[in-house]
Formats: sequence, structure tokens, C-alpha cells
Amino acid sequence: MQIEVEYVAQMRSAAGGATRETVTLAQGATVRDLVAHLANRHGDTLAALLLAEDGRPRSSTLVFVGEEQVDWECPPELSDSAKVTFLAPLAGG
Amino acid sequence: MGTPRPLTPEDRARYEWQMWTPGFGEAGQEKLKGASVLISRCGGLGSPAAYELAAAGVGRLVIAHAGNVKPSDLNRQLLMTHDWLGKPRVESAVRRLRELNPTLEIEGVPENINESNAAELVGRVDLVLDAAPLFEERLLMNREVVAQGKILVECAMYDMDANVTTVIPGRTPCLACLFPEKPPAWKRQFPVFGGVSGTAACIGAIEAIKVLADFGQPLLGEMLLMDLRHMTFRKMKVRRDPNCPVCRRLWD
Ligand SMILES: [Zn+2]
Repeated sequence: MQIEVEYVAQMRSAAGGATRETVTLAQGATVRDLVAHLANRHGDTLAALLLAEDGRPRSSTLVFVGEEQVDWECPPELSDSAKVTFLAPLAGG
Repeated sequence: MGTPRPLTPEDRARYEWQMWTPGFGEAGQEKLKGASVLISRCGGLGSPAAYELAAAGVGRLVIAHAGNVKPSDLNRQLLMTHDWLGKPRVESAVRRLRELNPTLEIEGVPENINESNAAELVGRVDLVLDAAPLFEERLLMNREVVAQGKILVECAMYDMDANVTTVIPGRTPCLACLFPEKPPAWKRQFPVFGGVSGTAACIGAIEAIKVLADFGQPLLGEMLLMDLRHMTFRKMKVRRDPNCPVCRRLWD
């Protein structure tokens, strides 16, 4: 199935500069499978934003499926053409 | 929340046009006059936000910001002026706010939020507009807002992206629900146009005005994501962390 991924702010540069990309995953894949796929595809900089040192999802990164934030601890199964947005929190000022 | 304060004829003349806003009116203006807001810090986000709140007539503003004005502040920190280079930022901010609206109480604090002043500064106001560049300061303000039952309007930006959300403890997720730890990607310096930080600031100011005057629909449990590179605005639902160490006790 096809998943549309969107990166916000620092996530975007870590993923090579594109705001959006489409990835193909096996049916029944979860957000965690998607994260593993992206970490592998884009290398260390993005992986460090998505995964903590112990390999678990990084708690400070926000993940949205459609317009709703999802829980890293029990990530839902994705459906075909789902849109997943990754946000590393901003401060700024 | 502060007690509404009656308007003077001078107030009615000053705020006439905004009092025409449906749902706001004279009663809303009296609520703003009786309200108090802490803005920390007063940079690219805090300057325009403080200016809008002063223009709108929030009765008491507390501005916290350390350090002196540097040339690199001037592209976005709109309460800092060229003639104030090398002099304290908070003095420049207070001076400009008083020039705009001398009817308000404006307190300048020449410090950034830290462990020793957070409780006292948050305790002085009804609402905190968080415009700090560091997560340590943001998480401290959140902790105090939750502990003291205040309100937090959270404005943030990086590059051409900005976001805003409003925290009412016990009704919405708090900041620590969203990011319990300082994100590893965040750096002290970041790309910024004043127009981007100013967009988040003006939206944050309107959030504060709506919550203080009790009208409209604030971003409660929602985060507005703004991508100004592509002009895409999305409203996302954010979730409470049932194990949040900061706000969990409010939900038991
Ligand atoms: Zn919380």
C-alpha cells in the first residue's frame, strides 16, 4: 500500500529537503514499521529524530495520521493512502 | 482570571473599532482590561505578540527578557530599535509598549525564565504567552502553568514553519504531554524571517485575547501547523499523555 509522508521543519532537512514523499509498505504495516523504513532510507540524521538511543520511538517527536496525533506506544495500523506527518517540536522566537 | 474593570471614555475611544467585533463588545474589553499576561521572551515571537496585546488593551503585561539589543535581533524583534543597540532589550520593549499604550501597566523583568523565577513570574499573571527560544524555558513555564492553574498560549517557529496551541490545564494536553523531553534536533540559532515569527505571534495574541475575553474558539487540544513556504495551514488534534508527569494528577 502507498503511504504519503509529510515532514515539518527540522524533519524536512533531515529527510533530504523534500516536504512530501510516498512510500510503499506491506499491507497491515503500522506507524512503527513506517518509521523503521524511513530511518533506514534516509540515514542517521532522520533516524536520530525518529528513534531514541535505545531504538524506541523518540517521545519528543509528534506523529499524526491524517489530522490526529497518534500514540507511539501503541501505533495504529495504517491504511492505504494514509497521510502521516512527522513534527519535531519547534521553539523559536 | 482577573476581574473585569470598567472602561473610561478614553478607553472607549481607543478600543472602539475592536469592540465592534461580534461576541467581544464592551464586556470583552472590560475583561481584557482586568487581565494580565506574561510574555517570555520578547524576541521575534514575543515582540509582535506583546505589541498586539498592548494595542488590544490587556490591562497588565509582564515582559521578561535578558540581555542587550544586538544587530542580529533587529530583523524580527520588533520592539528593539536601532538606537537601542547595546542597551537592555527589556527597556527597549517596555519603552515601545508604553509609547503605544500609556494606559496599561507594563512591567519589565530583565531576566529569562529560569528555575528560580518561573513560579513567581507565572504567579503574577492570568495567562502566559510562551515565546521562548529554549525548551528548558518552555517546559518550566508549562510546569508552573499546570501547578498554578493558569493558561499557556504556545507559539513556536523554525525556518518557514510555525505552530500555535493553547493549554488549559485539566482540559487540554499540556506541553509535557506533547514533548516530555527537550527535542534533540533543536539548536539555539535557527533560520527566521520576522514575518514568520510575527505570523505565529499574531495568532498567539488572538488566542490569548479569545481566552481572556471568553469568545471564539481557541486551539484547545489542537495545534495549528503553518507552512509559510507553501502557505499550507492545518489544524491537528493533539493527544494527552495519560502518564504525563506534569499534568496527570489533574485527570485522576
Ligand atoms: Zn501533560
